[in-house]
Amino acid sequence: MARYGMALDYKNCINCRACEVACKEENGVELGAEKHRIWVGSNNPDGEWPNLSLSSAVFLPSQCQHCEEAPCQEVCPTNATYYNDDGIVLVDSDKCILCTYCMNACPYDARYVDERTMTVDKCTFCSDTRLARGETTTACQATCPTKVRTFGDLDDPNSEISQLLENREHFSLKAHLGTKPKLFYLR
Amino acid sequence: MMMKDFIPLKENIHINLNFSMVGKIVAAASVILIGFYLFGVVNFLEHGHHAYNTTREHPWGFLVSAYEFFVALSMGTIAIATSAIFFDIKALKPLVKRMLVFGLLALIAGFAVFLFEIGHPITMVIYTALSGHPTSALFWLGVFYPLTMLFTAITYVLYVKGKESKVYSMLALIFANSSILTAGSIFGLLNDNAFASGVFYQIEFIASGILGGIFLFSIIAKFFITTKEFEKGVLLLKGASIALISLLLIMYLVKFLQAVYGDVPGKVEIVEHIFASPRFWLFEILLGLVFPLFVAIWGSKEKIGMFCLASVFGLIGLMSARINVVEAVQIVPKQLMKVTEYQLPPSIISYTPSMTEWAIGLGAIGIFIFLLFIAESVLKLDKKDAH
Repeated sequence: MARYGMALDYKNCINCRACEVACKEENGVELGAEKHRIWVGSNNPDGEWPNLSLSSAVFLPSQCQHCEEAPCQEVCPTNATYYNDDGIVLVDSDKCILCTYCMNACPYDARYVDERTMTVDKCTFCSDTRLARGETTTACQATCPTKVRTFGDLDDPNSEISQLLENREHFSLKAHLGTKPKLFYLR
Repeated sequence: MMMKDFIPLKENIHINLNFSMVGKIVAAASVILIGFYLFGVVNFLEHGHHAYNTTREHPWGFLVSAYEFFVALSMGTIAIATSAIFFDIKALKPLVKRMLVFGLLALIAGFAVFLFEIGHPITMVIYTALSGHPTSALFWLGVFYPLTMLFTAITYVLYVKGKESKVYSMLALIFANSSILTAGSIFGLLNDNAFASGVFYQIEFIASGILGGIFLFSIIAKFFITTKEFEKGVLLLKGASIALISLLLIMYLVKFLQAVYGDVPGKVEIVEHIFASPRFWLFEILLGLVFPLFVAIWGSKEKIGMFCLASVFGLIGLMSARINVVEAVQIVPKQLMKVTEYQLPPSIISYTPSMTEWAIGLGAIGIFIFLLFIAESVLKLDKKDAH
């Protein structure tokens, strides 16, 4: 058993969105802007012309944080949202009743409705595709041209992600909520 | 075994269609609303959830508001009735049978909305039982509603038979309060939501639910059950409404003050949005609370005419309050950096109910009125109906 997480060297992101395309291709995510498991956020530069803060104009790739204390899992009335043995937060579509409570409870807006199954869908860390085939990377990581993402086992001290988190300062989104996200942004 | 052995049906069931003028207007409105409801259902069956204007960012819409309106009304009404039995409040006894039954019917009207809000109602029943999740407020609603219905029904049947069961009325009271607290907790436990999280909505749901029950019975006492003792019971409840409305107004004041004080991010944007809304000021505050309070304090102490009018506005105000709460918890985007290409990130997420949503949500009012009429026709609800 592993405890999977992802580190994001977000300042390397060039907003090519190859990760979004790779995710859709690999996992059969529906087409359309509203239907996305992962996304690249962008911040317009702060300030007013000509005094713009270029350093504030960053891209922030994101997705489900696979929280250890996931609010979406806590509010799910039928346990459709669950943790697998590797700590990945997944949705059992057979149990999902589409109450959309999880969509409101998720602090990261990481969930959407899959119109084909009419159930809530989200990032799976490619657990039922690439990981199931024995691969060790996610589609978004494998396709990224600037190596923004590093996926791996947080419990393995020798894994690349553990080494990165050991040696680089990092932060998590909305960490004050106590959700214990497993996505880490490298400073 | 006959149905009459279990359900206290009238000896001579007679569907009376000779309505008064007000009755005719209500009946016509009910028929129109049921037609509107059926239109919404057909649209839903044809297009599914695509018939709704809910989005990824605003997944809860008007149907959640309408559902919450009915369940709060239901649980508040049941709480009054069971309190009257348990605490032996004699002035309310003439209302008890109707309040128990009408409370159950309001819940059924709420279910008529919820059925089309939830994506998979049958799956919900199966997996709430097979793999229910105790940390979920929705799961507990699935537990508390059936228990409330069961003990309320038992309380009613025993009451008709002349037995005032303290045990069953207490159980119904406990589970009705648990249900309404849990319904408020659906919003109050959204920890990420600075505006919603806390104890406000749980208490607000209880107070406004009971207030809704008072408004409903004030209208019924004025137009349909015009006996002296029924009106006397409603006059007692009118006094209670002063305390409830005052409590609600104080809670609103404190909540909004706390949000604007220091411009708290995640709260102040919502309050500014609410304050800019005529629906909030006109329907929720002015007509829904201030006008009934004014009438309850300074109106006639013996008659309920004006308070009945205020109650009509009060119920509209409570529906408006439900719309506002569902909107308020969703209008601030969670990820401000998440943008659609060529589009600036929204500061406020907008949502307008679709015609299908209006049809199902408002149409359920027609269903509720129809159920009230059927209950009046077939069930033992008057003093003379007692064994």
